Amino acid sequence: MPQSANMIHKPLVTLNTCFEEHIKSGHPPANFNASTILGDLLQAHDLQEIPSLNTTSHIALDPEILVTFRCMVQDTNLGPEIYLSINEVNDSSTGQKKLRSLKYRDADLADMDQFNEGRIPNEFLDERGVVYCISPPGESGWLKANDHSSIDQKLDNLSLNNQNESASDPQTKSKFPLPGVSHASAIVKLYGEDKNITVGSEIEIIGVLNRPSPSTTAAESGDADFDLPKPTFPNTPVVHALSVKTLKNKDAMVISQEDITNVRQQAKDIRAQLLEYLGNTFGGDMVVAEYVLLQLLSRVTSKRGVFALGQFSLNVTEFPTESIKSGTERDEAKKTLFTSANALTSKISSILRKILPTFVELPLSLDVLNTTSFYPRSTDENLLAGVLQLLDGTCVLVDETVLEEGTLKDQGVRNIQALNKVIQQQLLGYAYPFHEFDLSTDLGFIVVSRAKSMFPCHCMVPLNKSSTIPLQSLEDNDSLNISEQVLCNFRKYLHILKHTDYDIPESISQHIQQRFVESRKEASSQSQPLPTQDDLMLQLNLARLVSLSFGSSELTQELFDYTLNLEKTRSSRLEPTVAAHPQK
Amino acid sequence: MSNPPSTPQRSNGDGGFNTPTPRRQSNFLSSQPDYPSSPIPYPSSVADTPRTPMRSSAGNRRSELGGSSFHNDDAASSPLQYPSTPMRGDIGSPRTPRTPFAYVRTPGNLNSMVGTPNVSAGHATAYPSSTGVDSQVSDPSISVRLIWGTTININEAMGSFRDFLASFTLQQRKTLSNEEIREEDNLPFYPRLLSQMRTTETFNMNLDCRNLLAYRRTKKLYDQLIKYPQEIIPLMDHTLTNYFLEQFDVDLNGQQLKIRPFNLDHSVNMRDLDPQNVDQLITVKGLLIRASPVIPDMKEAFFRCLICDYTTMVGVDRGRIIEPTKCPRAQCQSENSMSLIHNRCLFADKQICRLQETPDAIPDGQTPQTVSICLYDDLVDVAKPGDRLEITGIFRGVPVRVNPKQRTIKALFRTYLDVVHIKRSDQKRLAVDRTIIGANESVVSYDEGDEIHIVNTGEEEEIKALSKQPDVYDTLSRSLAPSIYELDDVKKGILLQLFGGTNKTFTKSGSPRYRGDINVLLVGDPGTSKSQLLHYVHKIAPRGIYTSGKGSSAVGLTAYITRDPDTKQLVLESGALVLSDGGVCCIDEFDKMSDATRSVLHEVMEQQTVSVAKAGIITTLNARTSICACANPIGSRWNKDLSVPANLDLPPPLLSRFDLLYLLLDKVDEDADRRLAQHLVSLYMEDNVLTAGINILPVEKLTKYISYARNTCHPVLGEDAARRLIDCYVELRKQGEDRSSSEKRVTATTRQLESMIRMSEAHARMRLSPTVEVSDVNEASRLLREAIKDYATDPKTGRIDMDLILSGTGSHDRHVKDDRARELKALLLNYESSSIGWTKLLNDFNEQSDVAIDTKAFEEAVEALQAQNVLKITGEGRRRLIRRLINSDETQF
Repeated sequence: MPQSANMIHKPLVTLNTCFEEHIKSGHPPANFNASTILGDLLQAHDLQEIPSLNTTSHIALDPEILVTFRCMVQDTNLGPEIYLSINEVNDSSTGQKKLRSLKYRDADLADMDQFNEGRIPNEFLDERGVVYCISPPGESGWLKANDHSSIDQKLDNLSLNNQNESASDPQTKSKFPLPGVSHASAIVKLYGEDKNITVGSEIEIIGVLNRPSPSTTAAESGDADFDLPKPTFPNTPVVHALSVKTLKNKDAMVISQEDITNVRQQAKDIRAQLLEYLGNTFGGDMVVAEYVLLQLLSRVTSKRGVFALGQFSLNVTEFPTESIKSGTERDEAKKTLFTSANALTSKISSILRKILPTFVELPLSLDVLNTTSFYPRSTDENLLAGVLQLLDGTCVLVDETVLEEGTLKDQGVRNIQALNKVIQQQLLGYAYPFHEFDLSTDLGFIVVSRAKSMFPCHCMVPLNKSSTIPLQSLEDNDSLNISEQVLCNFRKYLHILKHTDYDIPESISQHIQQRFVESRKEASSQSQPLPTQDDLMLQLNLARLVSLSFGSSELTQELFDYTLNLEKTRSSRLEPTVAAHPQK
Repeated sequence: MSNPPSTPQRSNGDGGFNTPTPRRQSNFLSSQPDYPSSPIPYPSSVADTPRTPMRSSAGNRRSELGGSSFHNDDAASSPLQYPSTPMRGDIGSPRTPRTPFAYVRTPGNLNSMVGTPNVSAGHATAYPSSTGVDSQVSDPSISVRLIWGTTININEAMGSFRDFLASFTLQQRKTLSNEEIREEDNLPFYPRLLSQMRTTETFNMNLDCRNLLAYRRTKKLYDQLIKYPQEIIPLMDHTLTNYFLEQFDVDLNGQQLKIRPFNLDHSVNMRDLDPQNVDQLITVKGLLIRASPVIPDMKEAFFRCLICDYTTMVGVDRGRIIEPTKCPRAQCQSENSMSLIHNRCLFADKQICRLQETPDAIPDGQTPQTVSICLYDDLVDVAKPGDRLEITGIFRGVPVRVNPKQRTIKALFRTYLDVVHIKRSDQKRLAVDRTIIGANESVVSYDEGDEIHIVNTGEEEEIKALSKQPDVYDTLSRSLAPSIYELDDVKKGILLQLFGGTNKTFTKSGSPRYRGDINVLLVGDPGTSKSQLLHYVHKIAPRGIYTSGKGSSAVGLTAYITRDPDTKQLVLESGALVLSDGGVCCIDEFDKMSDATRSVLHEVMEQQTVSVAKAGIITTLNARTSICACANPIGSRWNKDLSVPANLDLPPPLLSRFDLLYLLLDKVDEDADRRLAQHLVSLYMEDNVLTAGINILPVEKLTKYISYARNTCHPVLGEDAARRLIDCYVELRKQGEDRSSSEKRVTATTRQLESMIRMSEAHARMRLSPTVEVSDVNEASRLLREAIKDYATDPKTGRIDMDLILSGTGSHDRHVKDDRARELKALLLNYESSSIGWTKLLNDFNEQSDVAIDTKAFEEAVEALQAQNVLKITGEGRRRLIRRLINSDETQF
């Protein structure tokens, strides 16, 4: 295995050898592509050996070694750039001219004579994509731990180093969606077809790590008075990607076929357990727990025009508040802007974070609304991240309970508009100069609020005030301390069923239609508000989620009736309050 | 045409066709003693880099072509100092840097020349002389006048261009593109243009490249212009200048005429710029997002000796000015005495800007890319950030240095465009920049819908094919908001709105322009997907703004004035209506608008302008926008027993300005309900539904179709159609005649006729038909009737009555009112005392009538009588007293 060891520690040397072989075998030099030979050089288990930027800071690593990085593409505006991929040099020993590959590295050429006298054919020039990548925002600790087994020390390492790093490079801070959260970032140079990677997608790369040279930036920034400097990242490592894999939301967890059958068989049991767990989280309110469970299973299944079907946003109202009391807790809360001042939401967050791969808590305090930006915006061709620039499938807990009366500034209004649009249409506007671009998202929303939320959620469930266990005593609740094994089951359950395909058999479809027609007739005869299109759509969406939660990939009569009953329970709770319909 | 000299040395004196000699050259360059004696570069075996002479002349004459650097890159910090173009003082310098790749001209033919430095043959097949390119290197004695490394035969190129200038006529191009040919088009075009340039003293000639392509002899030249702009453009400049001087006896003062080529065959997408495009002439479209201040770019430095006052000029050498370390005068020779005199140095303007992709060019899910552009001399400050531009320029790449002080460079190139022509695709600003660039080419037609997706030829075919389909109308209306079920007529109405009628101006009669935009109002119960329809319209409309009535203020809709924080100047900022000029303005919650806001719409909806008169700015802005609005009825649910104006909190004048008004009522209808349920269930049937998309155009295609139709098709009313329109209108009016009673209801007004015309035009435009035919009118009249039937039906009589919309009350209502007042008057006269309590009168009145009279109707009757001076009301609220002012006897009169 010396070859693969070489590949990991001295990838450029190996690549040079490969390039020479490549030429010798008579291929055109421009066709040299490392991704095709990478598989031969690395056996599967070697992948574990490659250090990962997700867990190790680049400062701790030697430059020009092979690294992996699982990351989100935050900004594609840095490139593309044209570079010299092949260079002709005089071999001093033989005196002959020889081709050298400059792919996968930032090479300096000692003098310009080459450009003056030598002739560089067009084909020696190539184009590469340059993107800015960040570690997945809101990634839960357990998922990170999955990456590498000996995570503990590395995690410590990570948080320490990253804090140092972000302190030294102010630019990178604004490029991570969640302000104040430590993260890893890298400039990734993409070769080949992969240069068309879109913003917001998750990719996993294997590439050559390169440290940025500070002198570059001095030359680039130039005369600031006259020039239009492009953003530079003097302390961000550069990774030349040898291979790129685009990850789908589905791939967030490694799932075996066996897991799938297991989960689908045991769905009912796990569902009961998980319901209880969630119920305890919400003070024993099983209805809320049920709806939260359904929310966690939802995703955008298809987009049709302005509609995003499948996503289900939930509003939990009558949510109590409890300010953070003890000193230690306050210190902890101060650490980031994005920890809610409501101790109860923080607790719910910590529980959801345990079972979801990516989770973000968004406390809507005036401070957060007015000082941060929820949507990404481009200033001077630098795309600054917005809080909502998240990976697909991320669950966002919006905490409206911390919102108080006060002035909402311009930024705040825009933020609320952006959030509204994402909840309603699953579209996030990227603010570019003179134009806004809407990109599709798939974010789940749970909004907790005291009264009806100001966001147009699909449905709203009031928390039962007379619940068996008061929410306040959450921390003393033993039922929430469950084993890692059970948690693991929960995670698999949610992840697998979320991505299970589903359909409605013809007979049930007839039944639903019949019911709808009848319910409208009935309502009209009793001069009650007519059930609308939206009501039916909500029912259908819920029916889908209910079926999935029971591990069924098909809707049955019972499951549909179950859904209707669930809805009935919910609307009976709503009756004393205002309208049962989501606002228009 | 040329007689190739046997040796390069002889070539100068032995010009073939009209080759300028150095002497002639000096005619107009003589004021610049530093100029090289021969501006026309011949392949020369003298210089060690064969291209050097050529490049030098390019540098002399076209500073913007020689431009280069952005980032303080020493290799090239002056436009003249583009690595391959040495500057004046630099002629013949053997150390001239080059663009590393500029001279490898091998587009599309790569693999054949791996590693061989002399690769120019890859491209040369077409011309017999091209063999000379190769042989030239090996054997300079068989030289042809080709520019080294290219296929350009100088004499041939100059000859054909000269010929083009002398004899090109616009008719040649117009016959190719089937444009209308006017009489003057048969005259040679450029001599006329040049004489105009002479009068206006503009020295830049915008060269429409379509003309080059249309002229038989210059097709090859066009090709070369695209591939070797650096060489061809100076040649063209030179030819043009010579030609100009021959035509007119003027002293140019050493100035050169410059060619500004534009309208290339096709434009390159910014995303697709790659190494192949380097050093080629390309056109890109984009949005200017940033512009640097004007940079004074030093071209020549002026030094004076502090000791002896001897002065000297030093040119830029590879981006640097070398300060003389000692006085050049032999007698002085003092060291370190030369000092720079700033105000005698030569500077040129330069500006660096950044161009961003236009939204329509960006693939789905991608973010826009940017490219740097360099502007020189008179192009500086032509465009402002926010402008949509079509830039023609040379794509450049310069190597990046590791450090400005080092020679080490990186294997990385900075790319940018050296701009030769700017075309602003933004129509509104057209008037402003005519003077700057578009001056001579007033024939350039600017696309009207500049913001709209550009249809390339393949798509054009597709669109035309689609328009030929018999069911195109249905297909298009089905594709509009496919997620919304039924509502076919509403969708059709909205579809016609998107196409719009033709705008007309009758300049002869001096009447204002007639609007072609169709306004649509959707009224209906909550939950009938009005807002969704609106969102669709917003998405599809080529230029659409979406606002909500509740959140909009009058200024937010029209225009507002702010004070610029920096300059303290008043700035006019456009609101939603002005911004949607040429598109559709979607207004949700129309009824929730404040009255003040709504009142601004009166002007917009008929005159299509917004007038602003405040804070020292009095102006009228165009707001040629269709309005698509939706509103909820009063009390949120539609009352079937009330008429439209009574159900809607909207003033009748505004209501009448909507061409189409649709009621979307949530009726309980078993069949419709079932179909709706079925439709919705099918959405959820399977994940990733594919089935629903049958016969439905994707949104992008629909948008393209609409913008294509709007841009290219301007239907005119046909004779038959006009007659049919009259018939339809008369028919509609006739419905108001009622044999049983003498009174006349108004079933249609001229506004309806106008609507009908607009909609027929829109329908014809949808078919991409140049004339409006009877079938168009039939459909328009059907749609209009449907809409009228819905909204202008008087619920009390069940008949159509336009008065409902025009005045708020139908003729039936008016009669009832009059009756009521008459009865009340009669009742009043029966009382003995002259003053009666309000409540008592109401009760008595109610007793008398067999139908209950509500307070509002009663109040109306009382007020009507008060207006007739029959009675007088005193007091407030329920304690009001009514005093009779007349006696029963008086009424007898």
